[in-house]
Amino acid sequence: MNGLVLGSILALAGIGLSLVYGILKLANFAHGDFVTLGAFLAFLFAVVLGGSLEAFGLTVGGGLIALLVVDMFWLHRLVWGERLLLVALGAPLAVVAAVLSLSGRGGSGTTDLMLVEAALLSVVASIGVALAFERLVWRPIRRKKGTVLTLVIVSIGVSLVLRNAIQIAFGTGNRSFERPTTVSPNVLGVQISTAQQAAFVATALIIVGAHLFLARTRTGKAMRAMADNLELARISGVDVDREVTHVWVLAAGLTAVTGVFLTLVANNVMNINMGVGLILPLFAAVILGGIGSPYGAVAGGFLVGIATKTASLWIGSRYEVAAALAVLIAMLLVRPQGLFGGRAA
Amino acid sequence: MKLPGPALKALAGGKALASLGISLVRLPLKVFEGREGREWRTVVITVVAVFAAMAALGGYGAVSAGAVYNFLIGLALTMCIFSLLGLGLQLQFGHAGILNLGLIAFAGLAAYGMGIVWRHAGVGLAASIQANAGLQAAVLGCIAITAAAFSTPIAGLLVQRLRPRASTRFKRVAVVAAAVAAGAIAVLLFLPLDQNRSRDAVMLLGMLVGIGAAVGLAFLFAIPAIRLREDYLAIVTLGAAELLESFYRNEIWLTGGTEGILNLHNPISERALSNGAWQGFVDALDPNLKAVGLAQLLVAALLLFYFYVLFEALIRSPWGRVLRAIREDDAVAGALGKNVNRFRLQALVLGSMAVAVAGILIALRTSTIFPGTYERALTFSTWVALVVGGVSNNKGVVAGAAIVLVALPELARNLRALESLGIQNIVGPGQGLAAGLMLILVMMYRPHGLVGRKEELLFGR
Repeated sequence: MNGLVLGSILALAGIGLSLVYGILKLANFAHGDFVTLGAFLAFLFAVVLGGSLEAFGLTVGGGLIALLVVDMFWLHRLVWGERLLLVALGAPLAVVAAVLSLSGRGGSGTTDLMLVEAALLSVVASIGVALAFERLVWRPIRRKKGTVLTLVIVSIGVSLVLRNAIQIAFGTGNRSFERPTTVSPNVLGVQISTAQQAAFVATALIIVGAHLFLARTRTGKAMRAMADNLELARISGVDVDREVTHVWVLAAGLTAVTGVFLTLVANNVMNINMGVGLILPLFAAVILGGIGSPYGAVAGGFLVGIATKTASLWIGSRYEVAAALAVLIAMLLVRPQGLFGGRAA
Repeated sequence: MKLPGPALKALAGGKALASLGISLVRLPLKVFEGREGREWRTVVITVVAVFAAMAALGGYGAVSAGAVYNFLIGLALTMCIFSLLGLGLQLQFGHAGILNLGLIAFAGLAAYGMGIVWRHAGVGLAASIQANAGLQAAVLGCIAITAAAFSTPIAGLLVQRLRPRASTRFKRVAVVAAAVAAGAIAVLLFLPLDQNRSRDAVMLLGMLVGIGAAVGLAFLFAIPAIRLREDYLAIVTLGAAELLESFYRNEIWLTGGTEGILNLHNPISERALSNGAWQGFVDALDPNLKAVGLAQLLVAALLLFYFYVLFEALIRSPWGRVLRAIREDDAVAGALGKNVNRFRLQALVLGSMAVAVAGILIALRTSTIFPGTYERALTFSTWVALVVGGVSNNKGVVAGAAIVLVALPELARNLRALESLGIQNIVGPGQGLAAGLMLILVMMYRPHGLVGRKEELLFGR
């Protein structure tokens, strides 16, 4: 069961990493730090600023207005289909809110509603950060035709910047959503916390949402086309820069959600290393599923998650990372294009 | 007019003296001529500027001149050690194009190899060496072979430089003689094998074990490195380094866990403190100067010089040209009959040796080994130093280390002043933030760094 939970977390973050890797040829070592960022931003909104719901409503409203302004002046021509993307990310969270509020109701601390709102805000803010990096760093480097090496090294720089900025803002110690601990209910004889259930359900919903988005909307189709063949997509009239922006929106939004859930399943505790520790299993999941294939990333995420937790029964949880590494190396040596016919890029 | 003989001779002699004088004056300037010279100039100016700034920083409110000197010596030691790390990375990445994000694993493994030997065998083994003549002979033989092995390449270079036209036979004899002499000197350094010397010997064995382990790891890394694309390799090496680090932390019986390995026997500081002549020399320079610090700096600088000369010679040799050809296009090099995998493996192993030595120096600096020292952060800092200094140019790593690993941390320390304003915990993260920004900006606006070579750039133009 732990494997499924880890798997759903890997799947969530893996979709974005896979798309970014496939489309931008960018092995993004900063992806884990975006997960951390998502968690800490949610902490900021929920615990630091979340004094009252009224103030909260105001920040939500302000965030949405800010987003619309960014829409108009920065992203240009954002059509409704794309705004739907943001809603698609938010809607499952609302469902989770319902699930959470039906199950364990807390007395003091962060309430479920606040948490969901904070998560939403965190999604918006993470997207803002990701777009800032896209605009200031990645796009200029793409224009200069940077090689794979450039991209990897710059992503390390981005990772350093994000990680240390988070440390300056929030410190190095553990932070918590300050939620009351609840007794985990039994499901089929296994103790599963509400957070785990929520993570699982939300992942399923988000994956379905992502599937619908990728399969049905124009933007989603363009993304998949770009992941398959960037030049061909460009010739077919895909506005690459704009679609890349959407990829970042999707990736950053999902990492923020991942960060919140990762915190919830870890007894509400977050720290600076939570996202970095995910990097290796994430890459293992993405490569297992085939780079550039979001469906592959989901499957790979669950496979790696289950493999890791199963392996930890034998080799102990201290060396969990070994399982992911073994999967990764085996895949790279045997079948680098991934299980599901992705591309060795 | 016909001058008398002696006068003519005197005139000729004077002329020769004058030209000698002129060339002596011009020699230092000549170093800075041409392309290499300009690169040296940039490096020297950078290092001097960094240390001048540090002297001003450390001199402000210092108690004595000696304290400032000690501070600067410590910084110079840092620079030498991290330049050595960078030199290894430069060979692996700058010249061979191997994207190694697990660099620190070599340093950590070497230090831990040494530390584990000392922790588990240390004092007891030293005692039995002291007591047992047969063991003594074996240990001295081992020392002699090590010294001979390490001196051979340099001896070869020296002979080639001084007597390029001599017969091969002469060169061989000269190199062997030099190696034997080096072995003999090394053995003399360890005689008589009293308590301290036999402990030195155990530490030396530990270092050999450590370097051997690092080289073994390089062979392991080579399995993916010779098959995989750059970005895959980056992921794999990063993961392997993480795994090793969790090994240091968790195998408490072997590595001491997070408490680390303390109280290593330290040959450098022990000798510096027990050697009267060295003490006297250091005292003569400045009574407040620390003999140990200066000795460590000397050792580190010599090792840096050793590896620099070695790697520079390698890079200029036909071997280096093949390596660069492979970096540019391994298919072409392969089609020309070069064994691509073998060259990559050799670069990986040689680079890992420099990194291993750096790791050992880091441990000897404080005579302790902690898992936190050999963390991903140090790999990343070395990468920043490499990129800032300039990829594909061995000189660059010194300048990069001076900026990123000397100046930046010291400047960041001054951020502590902000703590009175209520901003906590800013020193370390501030440094990391600055390093990250520096990396991004250099990659965007000056990808060849300070002295990197544009035409050898791996980042596209």
